[in-house]
Amino acid sequence: MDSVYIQRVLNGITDDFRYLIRKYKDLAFSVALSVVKNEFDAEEVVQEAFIKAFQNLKSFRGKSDFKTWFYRILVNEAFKRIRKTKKEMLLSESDNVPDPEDISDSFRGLDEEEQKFLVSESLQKISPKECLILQLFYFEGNSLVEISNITGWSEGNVKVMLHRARKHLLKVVNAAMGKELIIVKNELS
Amino acid sequence: MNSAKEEKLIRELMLKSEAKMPFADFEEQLMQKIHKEAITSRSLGKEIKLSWFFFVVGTLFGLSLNFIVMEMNKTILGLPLQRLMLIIQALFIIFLVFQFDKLIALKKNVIGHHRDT
Repeated sequence: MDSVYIQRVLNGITDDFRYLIRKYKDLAFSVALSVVKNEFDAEEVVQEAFIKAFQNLKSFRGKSDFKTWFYRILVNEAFKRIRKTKKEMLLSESDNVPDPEDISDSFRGLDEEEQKFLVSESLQKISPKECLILQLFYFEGNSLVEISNITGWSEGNVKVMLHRARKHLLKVVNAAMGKELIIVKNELS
Repeated sequence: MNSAKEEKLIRELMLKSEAKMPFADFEEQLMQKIHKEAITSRSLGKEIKLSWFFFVVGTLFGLSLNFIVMEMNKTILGLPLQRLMLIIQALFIIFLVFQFDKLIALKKNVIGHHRDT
């Protein structure tokens, strides 16, 4: 379906680009947010990526699907943005990986809003690359090959980073969960 | 076993990471920019084509004028016209190269603008 609208845009019906914006804006926002960690920056990154995609639509040959091609632009823009703002992530490597079952039980004990808040807070604390990979693999359901095509990183590298990202996320969620439980205990006492 | 549980948990966590575009006017603002971009891109393309057209026409006109004047045996202020033409030809070539360079730079700028913005 994308290709029909792309062809129409290329034929001069600019308004049909709206279809692509509507279809991809939320997913693109999630991806951008995972890298830049700020809603306003993420909005600008998505906007710039769409404009760039429009300008270069002629060069889209349809070899890969539009989503992969667009995400490549988006990811480049997002990393360009964090290079500009020189955001650096401080990560703790020392803690042991917690038991998933423990986290799982505590996590399910939280209500929907608390779960969403906890996940979004935890994702803020892991590095942009790791967060991006988790987002593309688990949330968007891309394969390792697709992630490699989008990011330009080798498949092996993606695999290693995905493994590392999983461990990091569990550590951060576990730490956040501890704080959450302390808050709940304080509220109860 | 632990790895499968870990995988399941991560999947469960990531499903809660969905973020929706919170800015209601995002689509309208972006479409305005896209329309503006389309107009700029069309007019830029037209201007570049016109620049090349006038460059070629001007070059051909200059060359023909050169040949016509070279055929004349006249003097201006005591100097033979053919000698004067050597100076004019040198200036013409410098001008030609300068204009050609400007047109190439313009084309590169347009491509660069498309890559950067």
